[in-house]
Amino acid sequence: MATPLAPLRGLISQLPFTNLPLKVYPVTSAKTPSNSLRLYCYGPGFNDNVTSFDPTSLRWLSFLTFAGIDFQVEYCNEPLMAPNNRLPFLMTPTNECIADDAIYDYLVRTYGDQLPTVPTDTRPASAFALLTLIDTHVKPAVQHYFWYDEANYREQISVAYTGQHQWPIRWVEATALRKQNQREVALQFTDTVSGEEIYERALHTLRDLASYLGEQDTYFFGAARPTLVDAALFAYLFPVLTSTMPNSTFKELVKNIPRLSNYIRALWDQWFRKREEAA
Amino acid sequence: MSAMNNDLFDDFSQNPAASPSPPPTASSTAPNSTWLSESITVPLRINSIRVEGVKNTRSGVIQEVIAPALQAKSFDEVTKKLHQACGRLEQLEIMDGFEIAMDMAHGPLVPEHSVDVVIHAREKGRFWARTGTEIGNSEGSAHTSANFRNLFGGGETLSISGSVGTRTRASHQATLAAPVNADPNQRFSLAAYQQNQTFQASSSHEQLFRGISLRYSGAFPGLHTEMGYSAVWRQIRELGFRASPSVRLEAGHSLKSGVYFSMLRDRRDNPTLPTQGYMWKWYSELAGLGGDVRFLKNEAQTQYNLPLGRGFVLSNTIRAGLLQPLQNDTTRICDRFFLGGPNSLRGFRPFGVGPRDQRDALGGDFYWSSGLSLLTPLPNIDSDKLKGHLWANAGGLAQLKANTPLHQSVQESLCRPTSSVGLGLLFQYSMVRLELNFCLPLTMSVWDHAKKGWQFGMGIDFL
Repeated sequence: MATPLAPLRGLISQLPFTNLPLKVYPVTSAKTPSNSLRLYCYGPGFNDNVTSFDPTSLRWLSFLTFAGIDFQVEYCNEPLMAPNNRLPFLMTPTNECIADDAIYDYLVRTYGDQLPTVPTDTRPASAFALLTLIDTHVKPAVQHYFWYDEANYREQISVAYTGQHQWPIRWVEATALRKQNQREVALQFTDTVSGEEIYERALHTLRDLASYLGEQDTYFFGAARPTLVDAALFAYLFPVLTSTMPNSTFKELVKNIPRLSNYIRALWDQWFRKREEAA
Repeated sequence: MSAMNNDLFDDFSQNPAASPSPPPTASSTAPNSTWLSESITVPLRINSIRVEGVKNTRSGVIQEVIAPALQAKSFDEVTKKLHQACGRLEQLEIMDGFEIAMDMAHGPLVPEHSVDVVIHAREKGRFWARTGTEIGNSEGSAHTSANFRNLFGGGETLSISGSVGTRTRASHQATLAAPVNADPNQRFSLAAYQQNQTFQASSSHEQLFRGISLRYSGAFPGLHTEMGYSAVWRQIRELGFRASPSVRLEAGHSLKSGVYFSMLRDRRDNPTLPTQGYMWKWYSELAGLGGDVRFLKNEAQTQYNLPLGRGFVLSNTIRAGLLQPLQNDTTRICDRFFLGGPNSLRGFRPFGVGPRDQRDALGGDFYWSSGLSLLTPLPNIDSDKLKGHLWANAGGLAQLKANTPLHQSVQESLCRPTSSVGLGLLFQYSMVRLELNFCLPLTMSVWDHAKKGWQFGMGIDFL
C-alpha cells in the first residue's frame, strides 16, 4: 500500500548515492569449494600409505571404506583443525564439520541404506556390546603399548603424532598427548595395575572375540560386509600388528591369536591392498 | 629539576666584585636582564660534583650521567648540562626531586672560575603497580602491572603485566629492560610473553602466541629506531564448527624465528589530530632464522599535513605492505595484512576488504591504502579538539599468486581499488581520536563488506 512517504522514498532512491557502490568488481581468484566428503585424520599408517597409525582415525577411515562411500582422506595430523580439537572429523560436501559421535549419525542420515549393517537376526545390542568390549578392554592395552612404554613412545609414537612440528613444539605436544592418553588409561585402572595385567585382560577379550568370530565367518555376525565392529577391531589391531616398535610385547601377544591375525590380514587384503598398490 | 638554589648566581647578583669576569662597564644603568644574560656566558668549570640521596644506584651509572657536565666551560653550559644530567636520571626512573646547589670552589689546587656542585635527589621507590584501562586502535583493554625500578642499580626495569580486552582474551608479559650507557633513549629489553587474541568475528579462529624477544630501541635525532629478534610459537586454534575450509587449513602450530627493524620519524605537531608536519615509518621483518616460517615483510606509512589557513588542514596518508614467502613457503593468516574498518579504510567493516572464504577474511600478501582528508573548523565552535572533515579513502588487498609476477599482482590491485568518500566529525579525547563519519562506498569487490552510512571510529592511527 502506498504511504505518504512513498514518493519521497522514490525520489531518494533515484539520487546517485543511494545506488552505491558505483562499481563492484568480480572476484579474481575465488576458492573452488570441494564437493566431496573429506575425512581429516592422523596418518598414514606405520607401514602403508592408505590407513592410519591412529586407532580412532582408522576406525572411521575403515568404516567409510567398508561402506563403499566416496570420500577423500586428508592426513593433516593437526587436531587444531578439528572443531573439537580432536581428530578425526568429517567435512561434508557442503563444508559442514562433523566430529565425534555425530559422524555415525551423519553417515546414517546421509548414507543410511548404503551402510553395512549387522544381519537382521542379530540384535543391535550385540554389536553395541562388542563395541563397548573392544573400547573398554582392547583400547587401554593399545594406549598402554603406544604411550606408556618409553622406547615405543620416543621412537615411534611421538614421531608419528607430532613429528611434523618443529622442536620444541613437537616435544610439548607429544607430552600433552601422552599425558592425555595416560589419564584415559588411569581412569579405568588403578595405578597399581601393571601393563602385563592390562595386556592380559585385552588378550582375554581378543581370544573371546576370535571365538565369537568363529572359523567360517569373514566378518563379525556373519555379515556380508564388515560393520562398525570390524572397523573398530581393525582400527586397534592393524596399527599394532604393522608397527615396528622397539618393545613389541603386545604385538607378539596379539600375533599368538592366529584367527585374529588372519582376520586383520584378510581385511587389509580385501579393502586396502589395492589402494596401497595404486598409491 | 624541581628547584635550583644557585649560590653562584647569588654571588653574581649580590656581589659583582666576586664575579670571575668584570660586570659590563656600560651597564651601570642597563636593565638587570641584560647584565644577567651576559653574565651567564662567563667561563666556568665544575670542580666537583656530589650527588646526595643515592642508595641503590651504581656509582658508575651516576658518573656516566654527570660526565658531560664536567666538560662544560661556561655558566650557561654548566646549568644546561646539569639539567640534562638530572633529566637523564629522571628518564631512567632512578631519581626525582632534584635540587642543585653550586658554590665557588676554594683551595690552592682548584682552578679559577670553578664551582663545586651538590645535587640533592631522592631515589624513586623500587616497586610500583598500576591498573587501568586503555583504548587503542579498535580495541579497549583493562590491564594490571607490577614494576620494579632500578633493579640492579643501573636503571634496569622489570615489568610483569597482564591484560584483557575486547579482542585480546588474555595477555601476559614480563619484560626486563636495561639502558645502554645510562642513556634512557637506548635500551635493550628481553621479553617473554603469551597473548591470546580472538578473531572469531572476522576469521573464525583464535591466535595464541607464546614467545620471547630481544629488542634494542634507540633514538637518533628526530628518528626512533627499533630492531630485535623474536621467536614465537603461534597457534591458530579454536575454530569451532563454522570456520571456512581455508581457515581450517591454516589451523595448527608454527614457529617463527626472525629479526625485525623499524624506523619512525614523526614531525607532526600532534600525533592524534595533526594540523601540520609529516610522519613516516618503515617496518621490515625477516623470518626464517630457524623455525618453519619463512618470509620477508615490509610495511611503510607516510603522512603529510598541510595547513591551509583559517583552521583548514589538508592531510594525506599512504600505507603499503608486502609479504613475500621465502623458499617456497606459503604465507599464514597470522602474518598477512588486513584492511577495512574506520582506522584502516573508512566505509568498510573491520577486516572487510580483501580475499575471503565464506564469512572468513583471509588477509592478503600485498596491500595499499591512501586517504585524503580536509580538516575543517566547525562554525561557532572554536576548538582544536573538535573538527569536521571531508575525506576520500582508497585501497586494495590481494594475495600474491605463485605463478604471477609481483608487479602484475600490484598492478591488478591498483586497477581495482576499493574506495569510499564521506564526511564526519573528529574529536580528540586525551591521546585518542574519535570519529563519526557518514560513509559512501564507491567501488568494491564482491567479497568486500561495505558499511554504507554511519560509522564510528576510535583509535590513534587513522588513514
